[in-house]
Amino acid sequence: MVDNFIKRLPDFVNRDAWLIWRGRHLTTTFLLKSSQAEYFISISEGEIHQLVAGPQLLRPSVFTIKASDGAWLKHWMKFPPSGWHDIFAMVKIGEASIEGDLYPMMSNLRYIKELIALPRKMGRD
Amino acid sequence: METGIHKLEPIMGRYVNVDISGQQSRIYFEESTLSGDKAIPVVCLHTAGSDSSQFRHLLVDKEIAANFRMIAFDMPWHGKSLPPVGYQDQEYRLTTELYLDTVDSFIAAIGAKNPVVMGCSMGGRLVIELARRYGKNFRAVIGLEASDYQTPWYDTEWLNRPDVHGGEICSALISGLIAPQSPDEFRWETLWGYLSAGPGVFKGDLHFYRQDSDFRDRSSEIDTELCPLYLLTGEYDFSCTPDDTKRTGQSIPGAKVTIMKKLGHFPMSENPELFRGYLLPVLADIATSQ
Repeated sequence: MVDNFIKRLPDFVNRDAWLIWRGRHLTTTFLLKSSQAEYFISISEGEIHQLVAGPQLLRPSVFTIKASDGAWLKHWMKFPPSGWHDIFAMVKIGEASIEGDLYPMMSNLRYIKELIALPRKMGRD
Repeated sequence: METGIHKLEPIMGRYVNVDISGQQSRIYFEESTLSGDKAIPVVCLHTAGSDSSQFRHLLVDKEIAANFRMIAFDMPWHGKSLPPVGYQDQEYRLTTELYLDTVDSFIAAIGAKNPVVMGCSMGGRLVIELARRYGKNFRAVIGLEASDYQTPWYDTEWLNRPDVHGGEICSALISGLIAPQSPDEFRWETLWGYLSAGPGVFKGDLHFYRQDSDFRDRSSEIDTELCPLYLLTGEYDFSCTPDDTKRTGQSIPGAKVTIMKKLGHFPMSENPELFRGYLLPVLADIATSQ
């Protein structure tokens, strides 16, 4: 289920003109991980131009955001429970981790937080 | 609650010049014009990195104004209060002593007698020390999103550096402290306080909040018979968590703790209608006591 949400991210990001505009200065690749899946998400000036399923040996990424399937599914609820409603809340309670070079994320924080929360808009189909 | 429908809102804004720790400061404050002469003054302390507009909804609340005179001021460096002369050659760092002196000087300057002090976040932290040191001077204190200590959740070095937009990162960081149920209009109004703040101001406030205000070894000294203490925390606040507030309340005999459902770190601005439902009973309790 988590897999299905992540696979739809490029479609949802690339048709959101304001989100692309907010990420217009961001070009990077990061790894989004769950219990069962991992994806290299490559962003070019705010658009996702490549989504590659892992694991991919020796493929570089700048930073990694990781949470369990259950944590992601809670994060993507319309009204997530307290603790799962924000990626930093999840990190604080030990339900997620963020590692690597954080500069691209922190300097584009609203964009990254909105991108990883996009499955909230996808519905649970 | 009547908010946003007045053409001319019942809020008056003024400046007062005060000496704070030897530094002349021009402080901007707002107060409700709805209150009578006998109303109990309530001095409101805004969160770190924002300003007094967070309390605007409470200032136009007729039911509150029936018994209370709501007053909110911008700390120096915040909102319409300028930083001190020479700010360009210093790094702003709020300390417990400077914060206490700021609040004390402001209250003296406006002549508020035996006020209630209500602070949110870092303001909530301060009211704990205010009650401990100077409890006899206050009718009560209310700590919103308040505890005597909490665990940090990010590196404040991100907040003030030339290669990261200060307003953008401050607002994006704290955006998660707002409850997901809070209306979009008020979510983004709350975030504007952070988007529009001066460089390094939030970080400077957090020097007090993170490094100079661990009150765990002294909060139990508060005499709540002398100065009633109310602590209200939103369930979605992961900065000052409900557990932080409950632990603090348990260490202070007589402290009254309320955990607020569907609210976060900015209850008065992120969801004013929901928040007043929690605040009104507290104010009623204060109005009928003593």
